Amino acid sequence: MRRSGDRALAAIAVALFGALPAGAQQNSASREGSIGAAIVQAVSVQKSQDLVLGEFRPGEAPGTVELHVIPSSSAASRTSSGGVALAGSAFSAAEFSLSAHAGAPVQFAVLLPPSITIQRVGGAESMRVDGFRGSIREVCPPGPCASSPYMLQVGATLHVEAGQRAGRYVGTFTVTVNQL
Amino acid sequence: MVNISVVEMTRRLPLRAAILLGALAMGVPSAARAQVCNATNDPSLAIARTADLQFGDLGATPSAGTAVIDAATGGRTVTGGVVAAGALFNAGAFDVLLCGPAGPKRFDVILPAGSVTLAGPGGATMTVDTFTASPKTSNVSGSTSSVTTITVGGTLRVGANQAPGAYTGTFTVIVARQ
Repeated sequence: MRRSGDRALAAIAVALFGALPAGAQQNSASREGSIGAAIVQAVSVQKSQDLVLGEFRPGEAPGTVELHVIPSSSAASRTSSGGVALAGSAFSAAEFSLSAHAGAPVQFAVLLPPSITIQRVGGAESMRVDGFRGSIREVCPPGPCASSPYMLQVGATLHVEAGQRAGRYVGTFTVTVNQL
Repeated sequence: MVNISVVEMTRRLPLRAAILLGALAMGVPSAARAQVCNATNDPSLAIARTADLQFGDLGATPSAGTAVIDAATGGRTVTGGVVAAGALFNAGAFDVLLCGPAGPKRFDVILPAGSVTLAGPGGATMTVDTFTASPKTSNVSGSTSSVTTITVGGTLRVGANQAPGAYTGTFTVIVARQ
């Protein structure tokens, strides 16, 4: 009984897994596993507004300028900390329009940079920007609407050194958006 | 939302395996799940799959890259232009039970040496290579009384602008008793 059972099994093993070395059938077994992966849809991202931290005066102590995004709103707010004093009134969160693919519910995965450096125009001085955060809102009412019905707003935190040299500082950052 | 669909390849299974898969589907407790050592089973050891290798949702960009599933932790890391999305990913898992007479209770794990192709939408493909196993691939301690779990990771190669959609494939794990 036992022997014939073994032989039958060996035959099956060879049929299924012909790569087994001769003589090894008695000591090995194999199993197939599945592998899965999904590539999610890319989303068209168009910048409609830059991130502008605005004007401020550095102080004798380091500090920050924080640009806050307000969920479900196109407005943004600005605060400062440490030795930094805000000046002027022009500032804006970055804004991107997103073209989602049809399908419900629509979910996005937004990748923002951990930190970037911005540099003074015409100089070598720099400041660090981090704390990037985003908020997505639907900009059309329920029902048919434009092809880019979603807006992504991005705010960040600027770190200002004591006595930071006056000037205009610029840099770039990249946002990556995928639709899940 | 993209559904991650893992389809099992249809193939002819010997009767015992077909019964075994049926038992799995019914949610039999793990102790009785897969391996029974007797004359109608593999003579020296048995292996059953308990989890698929899942790379989960990934975003493709104009740059190629990889997604790696760590066999030991089940964690996922991405390189190059690949963007991690979603939270559903895991290592593959297999339970191994040694059978038969007493003897050295150790076995080796043989993983695919080359690459495995995953089939996707419209003829698009990706490959998985550099398969890894945890706790290890050789001299793994086994038991005739309780299963030893082997987890399997690998490296998924995602092309530049890889076509969106679900990709599936299969790989074979061989366990050999020493």
